[in-house]
Amino acid sequence: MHYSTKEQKVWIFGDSYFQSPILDNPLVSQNSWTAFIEKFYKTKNFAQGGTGLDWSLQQLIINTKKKDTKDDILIFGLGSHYRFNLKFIKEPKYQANYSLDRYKFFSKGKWGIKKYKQDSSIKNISANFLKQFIFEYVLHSTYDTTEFDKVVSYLYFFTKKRFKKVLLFPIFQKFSFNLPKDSNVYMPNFCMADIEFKKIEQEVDPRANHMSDENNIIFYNTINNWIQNNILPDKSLFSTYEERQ
Amino acid sequence: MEVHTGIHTAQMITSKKNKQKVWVFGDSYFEGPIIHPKISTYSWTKYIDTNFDLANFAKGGSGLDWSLQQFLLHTHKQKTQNDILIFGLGSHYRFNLKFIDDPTFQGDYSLDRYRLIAENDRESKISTIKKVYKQFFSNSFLKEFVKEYILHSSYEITEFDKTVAYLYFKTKDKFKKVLLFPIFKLPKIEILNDKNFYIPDFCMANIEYNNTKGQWDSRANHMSNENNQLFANSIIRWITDNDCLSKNTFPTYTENALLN
Repeated sequence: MHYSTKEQKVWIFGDSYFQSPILDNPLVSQNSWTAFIEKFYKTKNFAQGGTGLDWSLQQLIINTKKKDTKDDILIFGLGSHYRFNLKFIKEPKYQANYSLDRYKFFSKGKWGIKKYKQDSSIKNISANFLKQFIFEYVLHSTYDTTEFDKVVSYLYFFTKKRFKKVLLFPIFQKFSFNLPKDSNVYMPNFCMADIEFKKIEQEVDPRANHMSDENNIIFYNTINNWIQNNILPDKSLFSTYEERQ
Repeated sequence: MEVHTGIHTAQMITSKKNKQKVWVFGDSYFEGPIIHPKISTYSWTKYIDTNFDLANFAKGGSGLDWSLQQFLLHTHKQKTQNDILIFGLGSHYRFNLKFIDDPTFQGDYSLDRYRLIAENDRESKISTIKKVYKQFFSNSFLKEFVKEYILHSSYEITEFDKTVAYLYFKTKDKFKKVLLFPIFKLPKIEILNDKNFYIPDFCMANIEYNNTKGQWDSRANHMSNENNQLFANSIIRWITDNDCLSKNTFPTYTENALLN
């Protein structure tokens, strides 16, 4: 059962897991969970593939500023804080190309600093700055250990009185703390990227929201169930789910 | 000089072994007493040090992230459930960068320092502004860092509040009581105070802002002896009786819109 179509406003922020459907290749995907959301709800989707956590936060602040959102629902995909929001990356979708987690990913959980330094894709005019930024700031300050949790903590306080209810959805990593249970801010206890982690053998998964058609439908149903019944998405609904080590 | 609190309980004045442990983090407003007899005879931290089991990791000149880092380093794996935490919420414009070897000098490279002096001396001391500006941007990485990241990302708007919100989740159930004390600005996010988590509604730098006019203040914790005493009393009353701290305690307190 849905609310009356298009009456409930839903704001969406995040990266490719949350972006509007790109279904221009039927051989790859026919379903996208965001397509269903946009069909049944009055949706404002500002998510964009390749972007990082700070960019999404910035979009939330800019696009909801001075708006009355008290009756609205917010769905915020908690993406990677290693996709830096830097000025020289003109298009935010390329933040992923300069992300540090790529190097952690390819080095079995440790920072692949050597690979990072050798990566020819970042040998451009800003490469020197980027490397200094990593070593002078990201790995020297608390950024590496606290940034993700800081943004989530901030989002909790920033959004809880501004929206009717809020879903903060971890994509690649979990929040280190528990949110108060009596709040209108909800958070699933699993990461969206783990729904099909094992299936991604290539660096970029071109399917809509990086999931199979079947999982996109299941995902939409779980989000819809949360919107209407406050029931949090459950990882056991996804047969392909496997927690990343 | 003695501090007259009227609340010296037997529990407080006892051997160090049985004293209440108090952790302190922050910048020069919170650092251990550096008393130059010609300038100051009293520091509020000295009194806390005398009467409590004090672990003070505050350092003058350092920024908010450095204080957070010290907090994480020193309390990691410690049993702090019965301890008290006092955390001075310093400047997020004092960047925690590797090339600044000594965190004392983070203040020298801070963005707010340039802005403060520019605001105060705009008309009369233009050479000072230029000097500070030159110092700030003489480091090419720092210049790029500010342009590429600080002023482009959400850092300016969110960093201070992000740190406050993080400290809420990180500390709330891990200490007996937590005091997060704003120094230069108040958080914009709304966090409800309760018995074990408290953020005063005023900034410590405003206690004597009018006396210093943004210039370097070499007095202990940047306050007069009298205000240091009043501040110590306020902290003690919060520790022992949960009394809220009030800006009305300090006759010199002046709201400073520039900082807030």
